[in-house]
Parts: sequence; C-alpha cells; structure tokens
Amino acid sequence: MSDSSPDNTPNGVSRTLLAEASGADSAIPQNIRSLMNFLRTFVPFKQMDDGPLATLLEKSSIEFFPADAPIIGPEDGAPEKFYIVKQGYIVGERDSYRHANELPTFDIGPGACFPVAALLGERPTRTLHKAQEDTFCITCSKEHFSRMLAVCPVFRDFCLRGVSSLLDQVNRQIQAQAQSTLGEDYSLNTPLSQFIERQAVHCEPTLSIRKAVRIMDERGVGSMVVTDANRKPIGIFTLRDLRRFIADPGADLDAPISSRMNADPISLSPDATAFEAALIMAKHHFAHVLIAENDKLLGVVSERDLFSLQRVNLVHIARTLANAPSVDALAALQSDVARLAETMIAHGASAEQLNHIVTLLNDYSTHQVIQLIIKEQGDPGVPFSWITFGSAGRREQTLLTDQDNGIIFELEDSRLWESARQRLLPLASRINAALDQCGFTLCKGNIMAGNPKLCLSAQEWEQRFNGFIDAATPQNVLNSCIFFDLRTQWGDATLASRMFAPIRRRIQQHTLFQRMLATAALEHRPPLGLFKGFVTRKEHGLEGVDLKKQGLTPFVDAARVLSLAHGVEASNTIYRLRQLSEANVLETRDARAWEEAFDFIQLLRLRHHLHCKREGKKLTNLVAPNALNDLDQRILKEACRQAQRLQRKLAWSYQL
Amino acid sequence: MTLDQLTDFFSMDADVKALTRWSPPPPGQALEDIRWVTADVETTGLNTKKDVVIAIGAVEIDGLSICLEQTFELVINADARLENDNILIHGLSQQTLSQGVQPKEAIHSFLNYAHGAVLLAFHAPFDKAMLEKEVRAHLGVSCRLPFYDVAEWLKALCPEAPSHLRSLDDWSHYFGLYNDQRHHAACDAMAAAELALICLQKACSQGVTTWKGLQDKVAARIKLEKMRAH
Repeated sequence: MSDSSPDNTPNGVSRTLLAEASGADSAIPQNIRSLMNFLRTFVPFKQMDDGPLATLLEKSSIEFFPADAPIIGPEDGAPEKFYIVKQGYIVGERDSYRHANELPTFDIGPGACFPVAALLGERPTRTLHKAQEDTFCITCSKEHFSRMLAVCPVFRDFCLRGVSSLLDQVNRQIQAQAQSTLGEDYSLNTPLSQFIERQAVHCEPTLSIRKAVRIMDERGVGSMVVTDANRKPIGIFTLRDLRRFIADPGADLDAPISSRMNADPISLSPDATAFEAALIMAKHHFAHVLIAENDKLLGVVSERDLFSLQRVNLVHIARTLANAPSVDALAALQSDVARLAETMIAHGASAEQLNHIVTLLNDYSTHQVIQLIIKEQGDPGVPFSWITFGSAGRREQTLLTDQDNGIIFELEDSRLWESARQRLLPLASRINAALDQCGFTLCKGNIMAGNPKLCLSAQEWEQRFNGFIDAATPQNVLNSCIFFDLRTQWGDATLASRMFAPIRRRIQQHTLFQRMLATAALEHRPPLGLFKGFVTRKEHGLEGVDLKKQGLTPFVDAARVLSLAHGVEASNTIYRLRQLSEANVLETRDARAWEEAFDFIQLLRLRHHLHCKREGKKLTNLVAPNALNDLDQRILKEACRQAQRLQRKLAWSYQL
Repeated sequence: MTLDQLTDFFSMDADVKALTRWSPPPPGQALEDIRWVTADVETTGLNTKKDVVIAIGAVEIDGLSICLEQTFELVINADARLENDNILIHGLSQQTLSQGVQPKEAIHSFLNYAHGAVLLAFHAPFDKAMLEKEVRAHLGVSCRLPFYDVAEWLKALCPEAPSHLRSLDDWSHYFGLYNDQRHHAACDAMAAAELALICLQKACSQGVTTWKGLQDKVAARIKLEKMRAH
C-alpha cells in the first residue's frame, strides 16, 4: 500500500485507533478540539453544536500572514476561501488613492470571519483585507463554506444576517439576563393574537346594566364589550365604570348599558404588539384595549394580561404621575420609572420603545409640575407653551436627563412682551427648580425657561432662530444646534410649530448654513482608533467610551442636518432616518443599518444607567470597553463604524 | 479498514526499508512547494537510551498552510511504567497508555504518514533520536530521519527576538500563540508548526525562497553563534 492510498490515510488510522482507545469523544483529534474550545468563545461558533463545528474545522487549514501582508482584495476576483481570525488583526482598506490618514473601514480581531458578503455574493471584496499585525487565520475553501451553510442553520443565519443576527443575540442575552431577575417569559413584541385566550365577553347596547354586571360576575371578567349586531365593538364598560356608577346616587341599574359605556373604544389588530397596547394604555390611562379585525371583536387585552406578574405597572405609573398631588410626590415616583425601564428591557423593548415610554412618562411629570406650580403661583395671565429642546425634543430621553427648555408666549403687541416676561420668569424658575427636584437636573448651559433669553414671544423666538442662522459660524452652530430639535411639551403646540415653519423653509434654501451644521456634525467623531481598540476619554477619574457624545451624537447630528436640509419634520433621530429613506435621501439599507446601530448604542447606554443606578453610583455615559462582553464590544465597534459611514456620507454630500 | 486488517498489514515487513528512507528536497525546490511535517513525541523521560516514546503528534504543512485534516496523533501502549511526574506532565494515565496501539504499529503508522516530507520539530535532535531508536527497536532497521530544528530556524529568521528565548513555551509566548493543551503531543506539534509557518513566511519576506536558501541562512546563523562563542 502506498502512502497516497485514500483509504489508509494515516489520519484515518489514528482516528480509528484513538476512538477505540478512549471512547467516542476522542474521535475528535486534540488539535481540532483545542480550536473548537477557542472558537467557542465567539459568536456564532458559541451556538454551533460539536458536530458541525468539528466538520468546519476538519476541512480547514491554518495560514499565517505577517504584518502588512495583503490577504484578499478587490483585485483578486471572487474569493476562493473563507477566513476566521485565529490570532492577530485584519484591517479593511478602501482604494489606495484616498487620503493616507483615513481610518480603515474596519478592523477585526480573533473570532471574526471574512469576507462573508463577497463569498455569498460571489463577487470581489470591496476592501483590501490586510494583516495589521502578525496574524493566523483558520481558512477553508469556498466549497466547504457553502457546505457549512447548508448543514448548519446557526452558521447560515450568522452569515446571511451578519450584524442583525448579532443584535438578536444581544437582545436575547439582555432579555435572559433581565428575565432571570424578573421571572417572566413573554416579550413586549408578542403579537396581541396570543393574548386572545377565550371569546371576549360582549353584549348588545340595549342590555341593562344589572344584567351586564351579572354576566361579568359569572364570567369573572373586568370588562364588558358592547357590540352592534355585526359584532362591531361600539363601547366598553369596566369595573372602574361600575365603581363610578355605584357612587352616583341617581344610578339606575335597569338603564341600558349604552348609557354608561365608554363609546368608541380603542382597538388594535391581532398582529399589533403587546408594546403598542401598553403604549395606548399608558397614553389614555385605559386598562383595556380591544383586539378587533375588520371591525369584528376578537378579544380584549387588559393591563393585567400584559403585566400580570410585574411589580411596576405602566398604566399605574402614568396615572399616578399625571395626578401626583405635589412635587414631592412626583419626585418620589421617579424611581418607579427606572424600575419600569428595567422591566421593559426584560420584555425585549428596543431602545426606541424605551425612549418613547420614558419620554411619555417624563412628559406626564413635566405637565404635572407645570400645573402644580401654576396652581401654587397663580395663572400668569399670558397664554404660553412649554417647549423643550435636545433629547427631550427628540423624544430620546433616558434616565440621565437634564433640562433643556424654554417658554414661548403669544402676544401681538411688542410693547407688552417685557412685562409678560417678568410675570412668566418667576413661574419658569420655580418650574425649573421643581423639575430639578424630580431628577431632571438643571442645565449647565442655562438652557432653561427661567433664563430671560429663553422666555420669549413667538416673534422673538423667530428672530432668535434667524439670528442663529445669520450669525452662524461653525463654533456657535455647535451650541445652537440643539434648538433645532424642538417640541412643545405642554400647552398649545401650534404656537411653536407656526413660529418654526418659516425657519424650516429658510434653512432648506440656505445651503451655506446647512454646510455649517454639517461641519458641526462632524465634530464628534466615533471612538474608533486607527488600530484595534476604541478611543477612550477621561472624565471624573473614569476612563471609557462616551456613549452619548462619541456614540449617539454623530447619528443625532447627521440626521438633524439631513432632515433640516430636506424638509423632514420629524425630530426623533430614528424617525428622521426613516423619513429620509422614504424621501430617497438615504438608501433604505443604510438607513436601516444606522437605525439599528443607533438603537444598539442607546440600549447599551440605558443598560449602563440602570446598572449605575442599581449600584448606587452616579449616572454617567462613560463605559469602559473592557467591561463589556465580547459580543457587546464587537457590536459597539460595528455600530461606531456605521456612525463613521454616516459621517462620511455627510462629508461627501457637503464636500467637507 | 478494520483493526484486524491493519494488524495484518503491519505484520508485513516488505516495504519497511523503503518506508524508513527518504531524501530531503532538491536544493532549488521552492519553499511553498515543500511538504513539511512537524512532529512531537512524548516520552517516559529525557534519556534517549532508556526512555521510550508514549505518544506521537504530528501536523502537516503543505503550500505554506497547516492542513487540519492531516493531523496525526497516537498514544502508544508502552509497557514501560510511567513515573508519577510524567503522568502530571502528559496527562496520560497508565490506563490510557495500556489502551494505546502497539509500538510497532505506531511507528509504522507514523512513517507511513510522514514519508517523503521534510520533518521538523522543536529541539529536533531529541525527537529524531527517540523516533530513530523506536524504528530500530520495533522495525529492526536503522534509519536517519530527515529532521530539522525549528528552534534553529527561529534564531536565524527572527534576529530581533530577545536572546533568552529557549523553550517552545518561550517562543509560543513571544508570538502570543494560543494553546490550551500544551504538553499534549499533537498540540505541541501544532505549536511547532505555527512557529515553522512564521519562519517560512519570514524567510520569503527576507528573499529566501528555496530549500537551499533556507539551509544556508540557518547554517550561517549557527556558524556565527559558534564564532561568537569562541
């Protein structure tokens, strides 16, 4: 037998003998097992079973690339091999004619795979992959890669969905973590159809209240849906209504239920999510939302269904905030908001959803503070609205929120403005102080309604905005840009929107100002270094990546410029990105990637804040990259890379 | 192939002589065209006369890449009793050893695997001596296995490395190689293969592309060291 005979490969011999020698496990050679242990610390290999992972490795090779050696690039045509970094770092470089100091488009370290997209698309890579330092890679042929895609769903999912699949992983991890402390097992993204357990209890409008209540009692339900002959819901009667009914001395139990029901109940389709139902409940203080399809009643979902085991409940918090009797009581309720945020993370809420809820609850707090202070100080006698800027203006509030607000009042006669201001300012200062007491810390830059420069008539505001535009320099644009994310938080919203409309039109024409905004938007760079790690900052003796300034701000600023330039009216960054893609300013795929990246960083920040809160530490935006797990680190890097891409797009659009 | 068939096969000594002899590649052979096998033996001790081989691990480099499909690992049923110390080092218990293959089959199988390749090892003289002794003892022929020392290569091709680096561990650590199972024959062979791969790439980047070029480079380094010693 010659040594090239296929059925006597020496390897085969050793495998067989070893298997006989010490059990089936030894059928996997030690070197393969050792590499499996190594890959097991990375996604997606972590999720792969022994079998497929061993199969992947058995037909693989190990190659070495000295520092600076090119590995694969656009010139090499469609790639023939799949690579996993075993040790070292790979950087991606775009065409060489670009600036020499340009950052690499990516750098990847141990456990990372490339060039997945090019292999799948059977096209050349877009970037030159180079070894940044001495690097070992595990490689296999394109054919073996395809076979792995076919046999291993985990691997396939990872390769096809890339970062999105990583994000799913993170979300699963977060949920698992939070759920282990909360003990719940459904997600806020559960469709309402899953809550339809039995036929909704309903009756016709003419039924007497007495009979309706008896049915509710017999069936043990808290609500009765009133429907017409076609089972179209026309009203709802709940235990709360019954309470009020009993308290009424003139109540007539034999009156038809239609006389006491809440007409036009809100209904959602069965494919709406639990989150949407929760949001409606919180907004309207209802404890029940109907599930209906084509105007036909299917079921009822109650607050209890959604948050049955939960210690903190959304509707309750919203109601108590909105009705808090004093500023002290409001301040005391804020810790419930933090607990609610934690619960929502456990239920798989995205950062967007969390921002939304936190903003909603903060709005309730603000409303109530304003109302309480007006009651205390008396009505100033000037119609005014409370406007807010920055993150609150964008509905991107988290637990760490400082005040950025102002007052806009309506008064035609310019001679009365000063005296109106003098009446409003003490009120505004009191509101600022009360908000501070509730945890909305005073703005260091004094962007607060109590500042005479921000307590202005509609005309003065318009002048002020025009002033921002006329006197714009790249530096002061940096300071004024948060004013362009404004929203009415309390009072008549048309006041501010009427004032801002001509400003919006003006900016859309004013490319020079846009260009300055764009320059300012490039000020905060994503924290990616030239090599491997993150660029960290130091603050109060802590060192880390500033998730707000270095992570979120690049997205926020870029989305703002593009929105103002293209007449997109949304102020929320995610909405802005979506509307920009609908307006064909951004490619849908890019906008999606940026939304995801933004959402991830925001979620990381929220988790970090909750963590600080639990540990009784001061809330900061600074996160040490080493404190993050491998997966979070990788995605954060990818998210920052997306920020870099968005900035590049902006720089290109304005030729900066 | 069943174990019985294998045993039959190994009892035939017809091609044993041929199996123990092969020559190094022609001087002009390009490094990337050479098939290399890095080997590592675990033994009952350091005495090449008295001690015996209890495990062989080997890894193949072909086309300048390590083929994971072609790795070799065997535990040998050596009658020799293990010293307690060695049990700790190798993690091989007496039971595992008694279940290993017979020395004769093991040696035959290794030769079959490695035949024709340039053999490499870290501190090769030891592995070479041990394996040649086993060949003699069990196959009844004396042979000279074409072993070359990766430790010498490293010194010749990485002059920038600090001079105190000696052991496989030192060098692995210097290059930051990941290895969770050191002192396992196959894993040590892998570590040596990775070091060899680094050397081969360094040689190419230094303009050394042929077998002779590499030999000369290593020889020059050894000569230099001797001159300094005098």
